[in-house]
Parts: sequence; C-alpha cells; structure tokens
Amino acid sequence: MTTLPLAGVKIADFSWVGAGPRATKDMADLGADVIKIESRKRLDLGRLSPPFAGGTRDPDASTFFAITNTSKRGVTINLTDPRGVEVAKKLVAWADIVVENFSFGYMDRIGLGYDVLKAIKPDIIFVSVSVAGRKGPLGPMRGYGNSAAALSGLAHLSGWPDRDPHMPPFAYGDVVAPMFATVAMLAALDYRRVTGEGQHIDISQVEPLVHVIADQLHAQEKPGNRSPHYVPHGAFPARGVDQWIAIAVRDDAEWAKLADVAGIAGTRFTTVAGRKRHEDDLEATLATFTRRHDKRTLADKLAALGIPAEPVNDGRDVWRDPELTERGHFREITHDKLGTCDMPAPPLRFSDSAIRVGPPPNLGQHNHDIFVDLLGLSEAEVDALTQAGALA
Amino acid sequence: MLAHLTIVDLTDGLGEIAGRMLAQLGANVTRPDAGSHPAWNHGKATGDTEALLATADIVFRNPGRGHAALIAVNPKLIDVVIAPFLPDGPNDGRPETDLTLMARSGLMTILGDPDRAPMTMPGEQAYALAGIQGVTAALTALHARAATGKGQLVEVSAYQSAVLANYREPLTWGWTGRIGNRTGNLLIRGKSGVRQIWPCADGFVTWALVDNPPMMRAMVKAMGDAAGPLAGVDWDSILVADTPREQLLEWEHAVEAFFARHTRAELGTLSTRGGLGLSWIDSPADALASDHLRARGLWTEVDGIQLPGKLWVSSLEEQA
Repeated sequence: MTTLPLAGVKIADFSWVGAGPRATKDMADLGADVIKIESRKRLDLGRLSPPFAGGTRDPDASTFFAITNTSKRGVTINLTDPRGVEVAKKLVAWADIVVENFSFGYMDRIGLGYDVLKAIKPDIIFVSVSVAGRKGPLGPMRGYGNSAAALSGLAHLSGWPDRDPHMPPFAYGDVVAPMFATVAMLAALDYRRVTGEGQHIDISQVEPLVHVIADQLHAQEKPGNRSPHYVPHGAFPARGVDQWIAIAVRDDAEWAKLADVAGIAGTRFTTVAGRKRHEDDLEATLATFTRRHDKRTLADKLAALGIPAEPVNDGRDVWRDPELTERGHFREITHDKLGTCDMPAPPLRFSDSAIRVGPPPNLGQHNHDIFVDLLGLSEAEVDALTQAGALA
Repeated sequence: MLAHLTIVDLTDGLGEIAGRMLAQLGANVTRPDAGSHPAWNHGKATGDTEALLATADIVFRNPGRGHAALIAVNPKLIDVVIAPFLPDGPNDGRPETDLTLMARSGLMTILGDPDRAPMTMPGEQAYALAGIQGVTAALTALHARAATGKGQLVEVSAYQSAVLANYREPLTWGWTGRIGNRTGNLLIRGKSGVRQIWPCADGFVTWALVDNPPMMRAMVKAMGDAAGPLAGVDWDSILVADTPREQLLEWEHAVEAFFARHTRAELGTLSTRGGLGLSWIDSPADALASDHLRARGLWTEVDGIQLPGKLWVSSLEEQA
C-alpha cells in the first residue's frame, strides 16, 4: 500500500485568493495536513469568484475556490480580534510551516510577524507571497496576478509584435509564484531536516515570471508565435469557425514531409534559412492547406508522420480530452454544495507514493475538530469566542 | 540551502529549469553538456553524469532510458522523468514542442486578439511549468525518502502542467457550458468583461475593475473629482463580474481619462500609497534596470549576460 509522501507535514495556511492557496493545495494533495485559516469578517475573495455551483453567490459553492483549496481543512478565525490571534498562535505552535499572502505588514500588525512566530516555534518555516516581494522599494505594493505580468516584462513581450502589450487573460503570476512557494516549502523542510533551522522565505510574484521568461529577456522584439529555430511555428486556420491547428516544424526533414502532405512544391522553403526568409509567404501557403481540414484529424495525421502538431483546444476540448481522463488528471470529489464533481490533481505520478484530491473546506467546517480536538480548547471556550466574533 | 544534494541533469530543453532551480539553492548539479540555453543552465557543472548516477540523490531526465537499471545501481535514487505526457499512455511518443503542448492545453485559444490567430506565450511556458513541477516531484520524493530510505520514480506530464495553469477554461466549460475565446485585453469574469491595459501619458499601465471592494474604493478616492459615475457605486453590494458591459464602459471612460493625464510613475506612486492594485507595464529592459529587483538581488551575470539568479529572499541570507 502506498502512502502520501507529505504525510505528517503540518501547515497553518493564512493565505487567500490564488497566490498562496495554490501552493498549499499542492502540499495538501501530496498529503500535508493543511489547515486554512479564514474569516467570515473578511471573506477569502476566492470564495466570491464565479462560477458558482447552483448559480448563486454562495461562498461555499465557488468552483474557483474549490479547485484552489482541495484536500484542506478549514477554520474561521477573526484575525482583527486579539483573542482570535491568540488561537491562531496555537496553530502556529502546531505547524511546521506558516503561509501567508496578505498585504505588506499585515502579519506584523496583527502580531504574527516572523519574530513572533519564531518565538512560538523556533524552527518554523514561514513563507510569504506578495506581488513584488516584502523586501525592496516596491515591497508595500498591492496588486494581483496581473501586476506581476506587468512588472516582469511578460505583458510587454506578450501579444503581436505590431500591437500593444497583451495581458494574458489568466493571472499567470498567481500560477507560477505559488509553484515557487511549493518548492520553497519543500526545500525549507529538507534544510530543516538537515540543520534543524527554520527560515522566512519572501516570494515575489514578479521574480518567478522573470525566471520563466528568462530566455526572452534579451530578445530584440516580441516573438509572437514565431520561433528563431523552428519554421513554420504557429497556429494555422482549420475547418470551422475559429478552429486552429498548431504546427511546429523542427528541421528540414519534417518540412519535407509536411510539404509532401500539403502539396507545397518549390525550393524556396526547403531549408530553415529559406523558410525563415519567406516566413510570411510560407504561413499563408500553409494556411490555404490547413483551412480545408479538421484540426484533430490533421494534427493526428501530422503527428503520425513525426511532425509536432496539436489542435488548438478550447475549454470543452480540454475537459473531454481522453488523455486527462486516462491519466487521472481530474479526480472525483463529493462536497455538500458542489455535489460529486471533478477537481484537478497534481500533474505527477509517483511509483511508491500516493496523491489524493479531497473536497475543499466549507467556511469554518472544521472549527470543532481543530479548536477542540486538535488545539484542546474547551467547547465552552470555543462557543464563547465564537459568540464574541473572535472565531468567526 | 541544499548543498548536501547531488543531482544529475539529463534533460534536453523540456525540464532544464528544474536543475537550474536546485543549483540556485546550492545543490551540486551536473549535466553532460551545456544544455539548450544559458538561462536554464547556469550554476550547473558539466561532467561524467553516468558515473555520478550511482551516488546521486536525484536525476532529472526525459523519457528514453529504463528506471529499473538506474534503481538497481542506486536504490536511493529519485528518478524524475519530465515528459510531454505521462509515459505508457495513449499519447506516449507523440511528437511535441512547447507550442503544441500550449495549443492542446487550451491556453492558446484564449491568448491574443479576436481578429487574429491564437497565440502562445513568450518563451517556453509548458516546458517551464513542467520543470518546476519536476522540482516539486523531486523534493516531495526526497521527503518520502527520509522516512523510507528508498528512492522512487516520479513522472511529470508537461501537458497536464499546462492544463493546470489553464485553471479557468475547463472549469468554466464544466460548470457553465461556456467556452472562452480570445478577447484581446478584455478580462471576462462571470457575465461581463473588464479592460486590463490602459494607455497613460508615457506608456501603459494595467488595472481592472474587479470584485475587490477595498481596492475599488481606493481608486475612487485617488481619482477624486475625476471619479464621476464611479463615486456613487456601492462596491459591497454589486458583483463587478456580473455588471453589464455598457455600465462598465461608462465607468471605464472615467478611468481612461484619468490615466491619460498621468505618467506611469505618477500612477504607480498613487497605487503604492493608496492600494489601488495598479501596475505600470515594464519592458524587459525596464525589468533588467529595476531598482527594486536589483535591491532584492535577483540578477546574476553569466558570461556577460544579465540573468535571473535568486528564486526568493530568505532570512538565512540575513543570518549569513
């Protein structure tokens, strides 16, 4: 029987929206016990993000929140109430790792800065995620995933070379920064295993994006869809409305096969240099061929010849892709507001360890389990603090 | 931080960032060659990787050689295979590049402008995402090894890594039946859409009407008399994502006029002071010259080229 690889790792998760919770989702799906600390007084904005199961704005029914918070337990603590902070400190004492992505200085202001955490637990691993990082002149900056795309050069490099900057319509900074945060937690755990020391790790959403576009930082112009080495390299029209196929030809031999299939004659496209020199004509000529074909059928035909080609899929295509079903990318959960539905799993497969995907917590769902059973507060105390608004 | 780890990097393009990240954290990473691009390979040594496999903690590789032979020699080895698709499945061996994986993941169909072809992102994002997942895979297996004493095989799907990044589109189809497509710089949420890129006096900034009432109130306050129709909005009682586009356009006209009268720096200062959630848009050259990124020690020089080095800032540096 395989076990969860991070079983026994304990995380007090103060993070919200996307940039922190995605990291703690990774850890929870891999077996860590993640307790999400949130409040009815200041809802995680992810809980307000559509689409909602049932169509109504129910903070326990946001599917966006769900995919970002699988496998966690959840409690409500009002961190603006000193009595709530005292309970939060008990969770810090329990935890190996504390994660937060509040605005600059918030954890210090409520009395949960690194020095306090370290005093409670000397080897605590404290991970902060913020737009520009805590240290540095832009540390106080507030923003969201788009800010990272803006400050990293990603937005400037995105889009067509002859048009304005383009903002990817998903917060890529909220994707890559939490992946760095996951790596940070795991690296810090190993460092602590070896040395016994904890640390505070300050992650910027900007810097991870700089890392993933590092090969483009010194490019002379926006790349668009083109590659300096592969020609053709882009999306070409396929049969149907707004249907496209992506094709990347890596060398002259692959081009010879594609030219044969497409019936493109002549010598000016035979070499990479020739294709690069006549790239506009090449793309137009290839498009006259591709637009007559179904994107999937043609992609499969080209792939069978060894030419990289895939349909440009939409959300429906991806949802239905047999590859994802076959490989267990989406896993079934049951939740009282979401019903039985599929949630994404980590894109990993271990030979001797398991991965789980459990339901996300409802607001305050595990208050009794955590406050009474785990932290040892009495039921009367919890009731009183709840009535007083400190555990809400 | 991870100077106790020995790592062999046999990746070719796909996954090279994995070894780069661990090299940055102090691990001893060795490749058989220089790799595809300095950005993903600085900090690594070149050497006899075959000999190192017998004692290494982690190997990063692409499909092609047997796990059994590796583990027979080194049972504690964590063998991380970064592949376009998880091996032994329906698409095993299908030829892929970063572009084609991005297309299949559903990301391209929403990137770009409605009047042109779908776009990929700059660089090689499916490859990068898979490489970072490879680090998570390796360090997770390392944690498990501390308990079991045994290494294991961990496989990473670059395709699934890209699908995971495409967090909205499959979900939206699954729950609403709606299919997203290219909307240029309009961000679609719920039933409506909001503008994300704005010209200002000396370039561009990014900001959007979003369901974050404190941020919206801060912008209204910063705009002062220029807020016009925005001044009367009760942000706590509306859902911007479901506000009709016509209404949003009226509000956005006021914002556009305000931004046009200010520079990137002025708007950035207003945002930092007031918590507006606005950012100016930097070119790569701006980022390379950024005082902030320099103050955080992001950059390193590799053969005369400025490249990102540090992954984050740690309190361990201050202690050192």
